[in-house]
Amino acid sequence: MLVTAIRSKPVYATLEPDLSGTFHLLVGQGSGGDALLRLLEKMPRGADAQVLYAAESRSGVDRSEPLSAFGAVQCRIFPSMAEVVACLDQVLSTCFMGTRLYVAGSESFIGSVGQVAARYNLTGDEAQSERCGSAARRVYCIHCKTSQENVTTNVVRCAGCERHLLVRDHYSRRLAAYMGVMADAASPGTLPPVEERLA
Amino acid sequence: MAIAFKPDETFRDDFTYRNSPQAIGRFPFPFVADTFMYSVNIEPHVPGEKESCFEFPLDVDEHYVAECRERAFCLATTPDRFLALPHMMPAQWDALELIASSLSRDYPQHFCLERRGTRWRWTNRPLGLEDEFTFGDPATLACEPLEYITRQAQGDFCLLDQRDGNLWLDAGMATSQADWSLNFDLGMNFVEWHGPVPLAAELGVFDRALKFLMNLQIGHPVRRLNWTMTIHPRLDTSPEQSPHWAPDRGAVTPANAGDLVHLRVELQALWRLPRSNAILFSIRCYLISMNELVTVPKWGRRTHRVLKSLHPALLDYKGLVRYRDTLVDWLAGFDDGTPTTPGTGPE
Amino acid sequence: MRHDEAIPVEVAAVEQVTPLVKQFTLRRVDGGPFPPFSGGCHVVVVMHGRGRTFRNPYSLLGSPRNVDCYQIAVRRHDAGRGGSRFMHDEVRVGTRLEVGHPVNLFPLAKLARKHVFVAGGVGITPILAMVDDLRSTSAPWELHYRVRGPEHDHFGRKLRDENGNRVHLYYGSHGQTLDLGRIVANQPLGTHIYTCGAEQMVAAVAQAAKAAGWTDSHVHCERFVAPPIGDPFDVHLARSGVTVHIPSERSLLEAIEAVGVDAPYLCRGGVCGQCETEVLELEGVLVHNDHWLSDEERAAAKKIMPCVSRARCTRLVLDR
Repeated sequence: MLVTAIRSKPVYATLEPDLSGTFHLLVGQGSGGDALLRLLEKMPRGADAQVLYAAESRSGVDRSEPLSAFGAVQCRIFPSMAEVVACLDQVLSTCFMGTRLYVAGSESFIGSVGQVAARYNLTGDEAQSERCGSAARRVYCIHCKTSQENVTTNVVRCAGCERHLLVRDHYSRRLAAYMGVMADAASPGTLPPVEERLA
Repeated sequence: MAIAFKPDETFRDDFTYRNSPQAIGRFPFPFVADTFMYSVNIEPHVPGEKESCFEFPLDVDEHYVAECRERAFCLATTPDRFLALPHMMPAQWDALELIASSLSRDYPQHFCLERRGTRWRWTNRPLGLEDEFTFGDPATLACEPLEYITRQAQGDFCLLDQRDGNLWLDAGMATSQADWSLNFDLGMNFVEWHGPVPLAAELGVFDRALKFLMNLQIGHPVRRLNWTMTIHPRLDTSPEQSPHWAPDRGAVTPANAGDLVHLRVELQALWRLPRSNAILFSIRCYLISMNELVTVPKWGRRTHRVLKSLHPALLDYKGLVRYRDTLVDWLAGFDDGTPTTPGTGPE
Repeated sequence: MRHDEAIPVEVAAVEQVTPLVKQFTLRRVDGGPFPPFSGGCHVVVVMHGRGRTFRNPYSLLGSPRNVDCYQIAVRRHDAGRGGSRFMHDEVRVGTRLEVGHPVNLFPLAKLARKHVFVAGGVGITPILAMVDDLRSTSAPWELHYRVRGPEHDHFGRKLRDENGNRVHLYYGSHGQTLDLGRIVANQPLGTHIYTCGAEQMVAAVAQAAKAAGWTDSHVHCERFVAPPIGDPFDVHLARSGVTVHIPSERSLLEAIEAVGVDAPYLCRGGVCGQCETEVLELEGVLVHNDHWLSDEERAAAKKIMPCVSRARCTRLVLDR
């Protein structure tokens, strides 16, 4: 059985203040809150910044309090990732050129935020993302076109069509998900060894 | 030139597709040497030898009608074989113009494009079509311009938008692709959609190719050849359809290798488009069975040697692993060790 | 472009549209349609003068959908190599010229949510075609166009008549200046800014945009550098085995071409990189006038862009 090594995976970095920007929009979820706090510490005093944060998290990490308590920065807390993403859409519709977007959280969260940002033609030099928390993936089944969250193994059963999917490293920003292809297409029933993905 | 179309050939189920001796002679054999590795093998897409598949910018051959029927079937059952992001509409019209005018100019006995200002009439005799439409007005066509014209052309077509120092796969018609998903890759840039290809990135192939293509100019198209192998003359080997074609890789035996295994060559060409400044990327698929291939002795010898020495990562990526040994043994019977001449032409 | 692929054209009309600018309408000698093009394109116009050939890039200003003719506008420069003087003084209705195929180094951003154009003088020309391309889209746009005075605003008035208050005109003679800070402020996300004109204005717009936090991916500059004149010098072409004298008013590329050596080029304005040439030997200094080489590459003096750059030297050997 073939498990091909592929290299079109997204690359993330540690969030750093981009002082060429004039307005800094920080968006995070769960353990991404720690990354946002670190970033806020590095921001110069008086920087025009706003925080949008969702406590919803697989790991249970909730940084709502320290973020709200961080002085001189407007902070809005939401109970769910879906709500923070919806709020981001509304905020971006009122933002001006000069805005910098900083995203911290799970890869799925980063992907969902990226889909909204793309609608505003926010390009790579206006945004940074730092992946926090687990290596869980959103996987898109190319056969039935459904996505499922929190996949931590290299093979997963599709929630939509029940096929066993090989989770590839090939990633689509448009779909904000990794590619899932039928794992036993060549020999039905013969699956590769299932492994936990650590990174 | 008279083309004897074979309209009832099939690329699925009973697989009645075969190459005539003429089609074998004009097959774009891809191996210039007895070993193969990725390179930036781009060359000017200039008129080639008469009667060859390089004679015209877009090649029409005996399989034309059958391939169009196969495409129509794919689209009827899986419509997302044609996708286009909204900002690519001007590029779609550019592509319609390029494809229709090429076919009309080079195969006047089969196609005719008449233009009166923006009022165009297109005649396609092999498919029995005659349509009038207003160039630039989508309401006057039955479907989007790229879909309309590529339903009447052989091979897959992609439209690439040029921006931010990269090329972006923002529209395409793909019904004969070698194991890549248009739906998944739509919106990716050049570096991203080539992500799965092994080794080439480390060789700097994609960086150099991208730099070159960013400077592609009107009137100076380029081409290159790509190759893989397919079991049965099956055009539709998209990953979505893998349950249908992947099991075939286990069906190769010494007795049937000659019939089942096909060399699949993609003649890829790229044109800069005028109104949109986008790039049209055509991927024309040619299939030849091993039995047909070895009727040209040099091709039999060379294919044996290439497969025997192919880098394991390429064997893996091209999906050859399961039947490679069987195939190499079969091809050995056609390799007497005689030296082969450089280049792809028969001795 | 290969030199033999230029399209023969004849000048069908010449119009003095401002005191400094003439507009030329070109039709194909064979009477056929021109290739359609995208707004922002330029063509290289080949002019055969007395004893020398000029090849100058000019933006196409007409509607990209009009394939009956190509239209360019030339501003007269009294100093310089003489190309614009030739166009003004020697080219008239009936003159035969050649044009290369359109090349776009200044395209519209298809995903932009808004387009802002800033132009000065004859820099308006590519924008005329780009604005025409935007007719078929719903993206909002605005233009800020500065000219010396009302007698120079032929194109500006035309655009304002057709497009209303999206067009803002500024007359230098009336003391009106572009408030770049205001132009780049408070533009919605996804706005792209395009600037074409004198080097000083282009640099000022880029600086203002940067100060307002715009990133490079949203700032587009058309900055054709007309090959500056300079001290004469000699160059030896190693591969061709010939030594060429570069006079003051001829560019290095033009002089190489004049002796029959085929050197690659595209924009002829120092921005596209196509003519990059290796320096094999140098005794002296290179005078880099391009916008292609990096600071390190300029300092290393191992590469030169012959379309616009020169040298002050006693010895220069190039890999041509």
